[in-house]
Amino acid sequence: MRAIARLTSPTGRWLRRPAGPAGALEDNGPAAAAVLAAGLGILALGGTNLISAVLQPAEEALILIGRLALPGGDLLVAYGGKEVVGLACWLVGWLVLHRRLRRRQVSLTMTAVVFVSCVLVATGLFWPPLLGQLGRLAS
Amino acid sequence: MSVIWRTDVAAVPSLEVRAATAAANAAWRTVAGGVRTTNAAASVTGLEPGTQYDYRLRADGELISEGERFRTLPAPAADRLDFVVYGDNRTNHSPHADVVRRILAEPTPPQLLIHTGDLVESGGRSELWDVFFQIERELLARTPLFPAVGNHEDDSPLYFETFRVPANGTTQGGGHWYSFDAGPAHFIALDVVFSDIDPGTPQFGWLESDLARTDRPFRFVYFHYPPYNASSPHGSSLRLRAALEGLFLQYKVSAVFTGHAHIYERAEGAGVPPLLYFVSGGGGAPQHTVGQQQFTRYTEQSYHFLRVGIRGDRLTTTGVRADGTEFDPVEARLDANGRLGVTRAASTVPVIMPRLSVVDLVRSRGGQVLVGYALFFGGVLPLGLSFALRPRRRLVIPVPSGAQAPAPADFTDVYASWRGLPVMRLASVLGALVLLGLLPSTPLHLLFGFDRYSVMLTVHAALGLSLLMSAAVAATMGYRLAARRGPAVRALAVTVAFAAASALAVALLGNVLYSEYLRADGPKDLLIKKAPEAHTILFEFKEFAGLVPLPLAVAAAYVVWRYWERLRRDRYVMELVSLVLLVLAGYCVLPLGLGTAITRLRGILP
Repeated sequence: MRAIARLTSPTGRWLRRPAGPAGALEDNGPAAAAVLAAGLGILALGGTNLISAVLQPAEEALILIGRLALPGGDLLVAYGGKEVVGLACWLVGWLVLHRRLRRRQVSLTMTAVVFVSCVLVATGLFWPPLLGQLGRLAS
Repeated sequence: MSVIWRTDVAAVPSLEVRAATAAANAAWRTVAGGVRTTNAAASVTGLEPGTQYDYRLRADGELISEGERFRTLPAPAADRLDFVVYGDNRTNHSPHADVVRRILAEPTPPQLLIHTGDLVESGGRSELWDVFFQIERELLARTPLFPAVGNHEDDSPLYFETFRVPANGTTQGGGHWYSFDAGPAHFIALDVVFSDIDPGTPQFGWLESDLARTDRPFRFVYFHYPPYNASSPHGSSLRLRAALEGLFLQYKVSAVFTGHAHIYERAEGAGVPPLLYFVSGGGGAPQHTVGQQQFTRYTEQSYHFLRVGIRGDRLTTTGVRADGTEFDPVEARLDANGRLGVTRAASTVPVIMPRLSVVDLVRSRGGQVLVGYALFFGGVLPLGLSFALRPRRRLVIPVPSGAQAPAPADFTDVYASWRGLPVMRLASVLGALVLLGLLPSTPLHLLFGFDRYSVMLTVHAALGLSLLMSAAVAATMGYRLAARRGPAVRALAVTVAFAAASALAVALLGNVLYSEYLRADGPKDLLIKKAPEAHTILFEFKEFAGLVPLPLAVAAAYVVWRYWERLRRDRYVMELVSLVLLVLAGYCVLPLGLGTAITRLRGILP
């Protein structure tokens, strides 16, 4: 584990304050939190897209969320609800991550890996042919 | 008969009428024109059909117009009728005046004028109506005009105050849709621009009952958007074709007159014999490029009007160019079932396609837009960016993270003394001057579209483009910063903030446009029927992909603004920002490319 941590973190510690002299570097936690939250929001958007394709009640719930939360949301049907959920996951996730990481040195390599993974998985969940296959498998 | 007129100053208007055959000292019948106004109107009732009347106008009792004469519409028993169809005379006043002069010179004066819409460039601008009436004054003083509302009328109150069209017998659609009889013909004007026309709507219900009620052998329907049109850029409105053609065939509509496309086209639709469709939009507006599809029987690009005559069961149509030459003469007859079929047409006349050279393309107004675009995005902008992004010799303070930091490396900008830079600057300035010269003569409405939805689409695309460009520039800057040779952090911060703002605007506007696409019986339903893959890939996937840039751009902007110059000291954070900006740029290309593909659906979507 220590070897993996060394490989993935310039500080050798994942999500831990480094043992170097205080004030030598500014904490990079806020940057990691912003980027991770963006990836989380995008992943949430893809996740809701998958759930609404698989579960009819979820789609109805998303329609309701969109209608309640967005002006003119009733015209956007489930798409509006997915936007709202994605937006909420992004902003709430950012808030939580920022509070947890703001005074930490974080492995930015790991941050980048998680971020890119989120975007790639979400892209797959946006892609209608793949989504259709997943929907058929689930049903 | 309604007479409308305008005066420079407000006055109490009145209209005086008497039969044209009356003795010179015969009394005038006076009709009050209402309260003191500059836009006067008076309606005269009790007139004999098919009869000429002299009329004159007074303002505050003072005679302001004399010697005018109109003819009332023919009686139902009449077996002949002559009328003119024209449209889209907006914007270019000189060809508009030529067309009007030619109508005035008709050997058999038309008994009425059918206008297919777009009378002025912008219906809300009163000065344009002044120009319209200045040009049309002599013609309209003697011939009644029955317009259909076009998209350029902008649904403006000025349009409805100006024209007193017949009532439609309902409490809805006042002035938007109506019908009237003239001799053997029944005319129906529809509003396909600002009012719903799909089955189940009030206008559709009214149209069906109106068609069912009429007993006239000739039935003409006219409106603005053409269901059959091979020209570009507008093409056919498949939505209207799907909504209306069945009804037209059921109730034996004789012919359909439309505009919007600034050309002449005669097309044959469905049915046996096929239903006749005419596009007559050559009244003066900038001309469009003709095309040919299976339904096209004749088309040409010219300023013109359409002369229509009825003699018994025979109908003739002839196109008349502004120079007086005639084209596409057609003869049609009503069959035993009351359907109109073409019996003689100059079918050997080829479709006249304009021969365009590169010079013609550049000289055309649309060409100017293209050249302007090409210059701006291909030359001026990239070269202009060389000012903002030019490499500078700057002090680099490399203090990388980690206890085992490599030794500081001094960086020398290899481009700082590049001699090509002044040449590029000069080229930028020259390009900008050429662009500035082109812009004043460029009709921006060709670029932005003619209605609210088109304008929103164009703005959406422009914002998407600006997002892509700013993201690409920011990604380049980010890489250079991460490689310790970057431009000023301020430049990156401003660019990435602009990208974030663009992403927000694109997402918001995309929502509005997508809701229009999703509406019931809207483009989505049509597309799912015709090309479901286009719906899933081009629209569904694009709408999600279009949301991704927002969190990415905001995250990048936040990090850059928070860390500012400290980014130079922590290359790991800068590398992370570079990565986010790279993904952002990629995710800008994706929806923009899909959006470009959507524009190729013009032939499928209305």
